Amino acid sequence: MTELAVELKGVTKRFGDLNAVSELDLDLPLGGIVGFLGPNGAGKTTTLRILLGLYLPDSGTARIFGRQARDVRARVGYVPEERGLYRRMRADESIAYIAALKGVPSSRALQRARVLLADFGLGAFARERIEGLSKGMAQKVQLLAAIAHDPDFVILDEPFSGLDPVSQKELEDFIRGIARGGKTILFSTHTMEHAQRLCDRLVVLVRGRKRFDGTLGQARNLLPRRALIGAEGDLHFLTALEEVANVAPPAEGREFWLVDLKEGADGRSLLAECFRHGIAPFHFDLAPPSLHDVFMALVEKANAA
Amino acid sequence: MIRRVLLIARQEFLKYVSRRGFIFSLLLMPAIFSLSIGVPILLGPHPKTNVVVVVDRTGLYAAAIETAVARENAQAELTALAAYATGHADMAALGRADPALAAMLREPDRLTEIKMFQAHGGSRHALEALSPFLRSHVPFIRPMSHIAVAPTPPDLTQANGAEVTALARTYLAGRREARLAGTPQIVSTIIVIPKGFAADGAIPAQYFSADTAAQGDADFVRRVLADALSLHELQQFLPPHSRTASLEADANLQVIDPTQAAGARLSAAERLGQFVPVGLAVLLFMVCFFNSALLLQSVLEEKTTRMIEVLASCASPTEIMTGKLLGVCATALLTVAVWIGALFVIGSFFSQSTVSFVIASLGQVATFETLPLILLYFLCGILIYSAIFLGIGAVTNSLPDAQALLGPASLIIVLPMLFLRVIIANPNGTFATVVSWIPIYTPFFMLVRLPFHPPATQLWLTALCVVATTLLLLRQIGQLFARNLLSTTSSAGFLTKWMSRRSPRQSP
Repeated sequence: MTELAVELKGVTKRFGDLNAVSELDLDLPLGGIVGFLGPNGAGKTTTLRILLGLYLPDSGTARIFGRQARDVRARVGYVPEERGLYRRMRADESIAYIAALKGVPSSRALQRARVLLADFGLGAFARERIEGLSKGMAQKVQLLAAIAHDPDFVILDEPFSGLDPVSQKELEDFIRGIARGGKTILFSTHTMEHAQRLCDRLVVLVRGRKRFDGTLGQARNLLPRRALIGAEGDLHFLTALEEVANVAPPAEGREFWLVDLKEGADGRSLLAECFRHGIAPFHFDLAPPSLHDVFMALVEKANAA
Repeated sequence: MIRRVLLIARQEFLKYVSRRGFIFSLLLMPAIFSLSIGVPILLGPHPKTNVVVVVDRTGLYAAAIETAVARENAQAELTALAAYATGHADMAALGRADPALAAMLREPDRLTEIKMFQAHGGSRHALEALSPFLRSHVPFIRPMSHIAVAPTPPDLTQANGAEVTALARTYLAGRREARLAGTPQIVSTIIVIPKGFAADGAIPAQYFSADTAAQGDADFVRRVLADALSLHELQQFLPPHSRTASLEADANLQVIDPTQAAGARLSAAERLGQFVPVGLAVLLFMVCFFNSALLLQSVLEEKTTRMIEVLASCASPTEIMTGKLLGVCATALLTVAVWIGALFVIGSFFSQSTVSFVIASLGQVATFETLPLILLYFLCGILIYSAIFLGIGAVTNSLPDAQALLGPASLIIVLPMLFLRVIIANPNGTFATVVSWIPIYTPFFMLVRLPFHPPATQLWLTALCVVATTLLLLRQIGQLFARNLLSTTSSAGFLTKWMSRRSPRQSP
């Protein structure tokens, strides 16, 4: 049987009257990048803390590599949302300190830190104090601190928070590089673009409950497709088609009609129907729904329930 | 586990000692020592001998003044020698070989011993007798005589009332000089005792001084003349053949420590040495307060940057807390070592004999039996105060939050310093005994009381009590710390957090 990196079964965590996490089941195999999505207060951080062994669930079981989280600290790396580093410590010492705490012999930890910094293009900043680094660079140091002890499972809590687009791109490449080493990466975010670009799998948590668990393609299939048609003339005739749910004319100042398809419809008949009515669209876009749309729909559904 | 604790302790220690604030405070204290010891010496009046001239028209009182001045100087010399001997000589061996000299050095304030000291040639002779018992080659620096009486210049002797005032002005201004041991000296004081000067006070003696603000010298002369007048009055009632007999008597008052071997009397040096632990208590207080504040600042910073989460993902709350406390203890010990070292270095620079005396006094207090207790008081004091500040750091998330709790906490913590005077005044009284049983104050008060030999049962039971309290407090604060380690909201009050510190769902 394949070893699971994470195995949560019916995990519930309460804080007073608040159910931070409810009946959460989650299996993560070894390898791959998993996006952990949810709005603020969805229970992402609480779940991550359960995975880190910082909280014990009130009910259910949480296993990391088949054991209690606190027993496998050395196999887990963690990057918190804020910069979890000592400001006055030097970059190489910061990495070495966390590595040593995770079990790397102190004599090797500093050497390992310097090799990592050099490998990831930060060799010149090894002796810089954290307070002297840019936010993006400090975040990379934080990531290196989380992987210096060569963990099999890395947890990243909002790693892109506060970074400029250039740093975000660099960090994305950085995370992909770590994942190529066969590590399981779970990162929480509420920025859909990162999840869309990085993740092999997505888990959506809303109000403490898991609302979705699957690939990006599966997530997009949760919502019917929508066609964006640019044309001169009235397209209301499209409502007669079986696969069309709704036709909305262009908003004021816009020139694109929005055509919502029914679930499972592929929209192939739309273009043919336009030509049949003598209208040649100058724009036709039948893109799948964005992750943002899926996410919003899931949140709205959960809130409505 | 131990490895992680030591790693955290090492990191905490390095973090504290590399802070600019810590280094500044570490150096600030020696700077304060230097200023408080050195400035009065450097800027204050330089030690000099006040040359006194006595114009005695009665022929009755000049000798009394000369005798009193000689005795005053001898007493200062003997007191300095006693402090020097306590610091550098084997007093027990001296006591066996030369009991007279040992008694002299033990009671330098006693009239009989001062007379004996004068009669036996002063410090020169005493040092010769002391030399076989000296443990070091530090030289004895003889204090300068405070007052010296110069022979009355003839012009002053011959001058009449109005002329004396004019002449005194020229002498005190340095335009004329008196001769002392063949050397010309500027006169600082002229005392004129007119004919008819008597106890009825009808005719006053005159005291001309270049520094009338130095009230001490005038008081000294007034006291000497009063004694001489009393003696003169009494001698009129004595038979002629006994008129030269001295009426001076020395009340032999033995200060005996009942806890010492039978008949063991406390020397003046020992009595002064009893107050050295007060300095230790103040030092302990400062170190506790200073280092605990560093710990609080560190915890709050880690919570703000969420470094605490990273630490918690590497080590258990107990390991983190233990590491932090070890780190702060190491910092506190470094602080104590640096401050004490600086005090001795600076003290040696200004007054080596005082430092030797303090070392000797410390040696008397920190015996084989009491040294473990002193170390225990320091350790428990640092741990108790650190734990309190760690608890405040655990339940708050920012310095403004913490300040709301720091106010009352500081008030409780500062109390021992306010009570210190009362404890010193009566170290084994009811008040001292009662407050010594309050465990968070025990380290300070028992440290102060240690030289005054509190009952052994009290000594050991309070020690037991403070150890138990420290352990209990660490356990409770440990639960509070583990429970609130990751708390980033301050919605719940301190009491709520304290009451909920034993939640079973926290990760061990």
